[in-house]
Amino acid sequence: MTARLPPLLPVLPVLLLWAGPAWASDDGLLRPEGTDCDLNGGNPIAGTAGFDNARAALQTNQNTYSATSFAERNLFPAARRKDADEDGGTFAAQWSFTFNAAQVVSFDDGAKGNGNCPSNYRVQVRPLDMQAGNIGVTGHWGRWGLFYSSSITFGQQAYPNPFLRGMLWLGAAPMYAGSIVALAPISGGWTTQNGASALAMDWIGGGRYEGEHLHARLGYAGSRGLYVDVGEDVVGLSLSGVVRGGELGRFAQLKVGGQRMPLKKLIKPLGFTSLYLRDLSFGPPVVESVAAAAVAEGEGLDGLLGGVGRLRTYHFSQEDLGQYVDLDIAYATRPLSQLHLAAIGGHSADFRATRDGAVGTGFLAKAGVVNLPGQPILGVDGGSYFSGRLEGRGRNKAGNLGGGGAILFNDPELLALYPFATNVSSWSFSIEGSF
Amino acid sequence: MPAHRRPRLVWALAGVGLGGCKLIEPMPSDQPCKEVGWAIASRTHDCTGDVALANDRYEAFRDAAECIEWEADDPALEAVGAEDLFSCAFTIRNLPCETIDELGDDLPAWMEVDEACAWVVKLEGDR
Repeated sequence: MTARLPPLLPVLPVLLLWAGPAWASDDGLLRPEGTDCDLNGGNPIAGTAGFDNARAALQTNQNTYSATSFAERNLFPAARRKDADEDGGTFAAQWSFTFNAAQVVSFDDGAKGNGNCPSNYRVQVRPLDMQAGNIGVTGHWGRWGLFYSSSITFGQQAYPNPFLRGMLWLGAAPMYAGSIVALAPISGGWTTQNGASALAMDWIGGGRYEGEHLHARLGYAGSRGLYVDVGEDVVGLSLSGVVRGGELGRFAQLKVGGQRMPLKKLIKPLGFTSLYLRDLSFGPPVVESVAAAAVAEGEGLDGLLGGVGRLRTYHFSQEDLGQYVDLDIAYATRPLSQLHLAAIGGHSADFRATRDGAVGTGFLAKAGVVNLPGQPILGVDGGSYFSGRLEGRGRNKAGNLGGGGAILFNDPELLALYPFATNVSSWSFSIEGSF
Repeated sequence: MPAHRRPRLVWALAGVGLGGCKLIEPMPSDQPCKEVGWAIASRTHDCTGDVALANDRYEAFRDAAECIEWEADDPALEAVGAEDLFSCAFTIRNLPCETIDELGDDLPAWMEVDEACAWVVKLEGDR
């Protein structure tokens, strides 16, 4: 016997008539409680963990989507794939949105029960939303080339109205970022921060050499000193960092080790192996004299990189295991010794089609559980959270224009960047092409 | 993938992403008290770089402190302002490192750095 569903068409208008007012009424989906509270975030309260976390998150957003990181992640891998015998170039652009990176305690003296802003919202907790826009271009003549990469990052407390929140971050902000980032070479690198909001722009420019077995890039980072990236392409060993002066460590950031080493040359199902150390500045700043003393008294890596206020992680990842599976494991030794991430994912066979991370086509899906320790320094109670990641990519038939998108929810990489976040999500869109 | 199925995937992706978004909430009633404990841990870490010591001091605070809970629209707050519930945490986060060294593990001494500490925290033995 075949079950017959009721015809949908007559039911639909009834559902819409019922659901429309329900969603649009006070405390409904479109006007949740607090919708009419101060649009621009009230006054973030200094002295709270959320205030410090928001400022750290804004700094992290600035570092993560810096001109340097963007060039390494999106520009250089695609550029390396080009045939050195043919002059040409590559361009790339990316927009990233991070929602709920921190919880900011704010005072709103307009919360007096007017509209949909009950008086108990006078002190309220608001999520911090952030956005980043990047544009980069590189050209090469034989094995030598020039590169330019720029970034703009900004963030603020979320609008309480979901519609306006979506309009700002998915509509107005990308256009704003796209236009302003094009002006980076004119205005130079600068940063401004007020309360729990910030805006920063940076750029790097320099020269590069892409040999058959070696690559080297040297550039000036508008706000952070000298950018260096050297590596060999047989095994995949590389070192990249931003060198700076001062007493707080010689590297603002450092990544060293083997990247996407082609073990599949030995045993094909193994795919690519990465084994590397990464060290970044991390979390709320430590008093400068304490950080300087830790460098002066430190030995080994602590003497080189600084011992406090850093996130130091040792990574092992196996990509394309049996063509379809990725494994990621990382262990942190600073600020706490603990398992940093453990994740497993599956993807289409051609998702990572090339050795150097250039865009393939298809999809990737990862899921798991992240266990966060309590971190009272950051005002975090800890607990277990669902983690997931979805990515999709595609290219045109000619292969000279492509793009993709990703959605991350409590992804270990996000939680590494924002250790005070719970239920943080990130969206990103990118395009790239060659000429 | 067939073209007619692509929109479904886009909406599914959007649903997952939006599911992670969180909007405005009123202050939890024990927030001002918890902020004091977090401020002690944070400032200890700022001034010593010692994560273990910061965690130990937070645990000691949590064991000894009884939180005084507040609603942000409590009429008793009209004279001072609800934001002043966080004055204790603010003061602790701005203490010089010399003072942090002097306070050490003496929790009652920490609670005397600002009169607002007594509004949000009651230590064992307090009347």
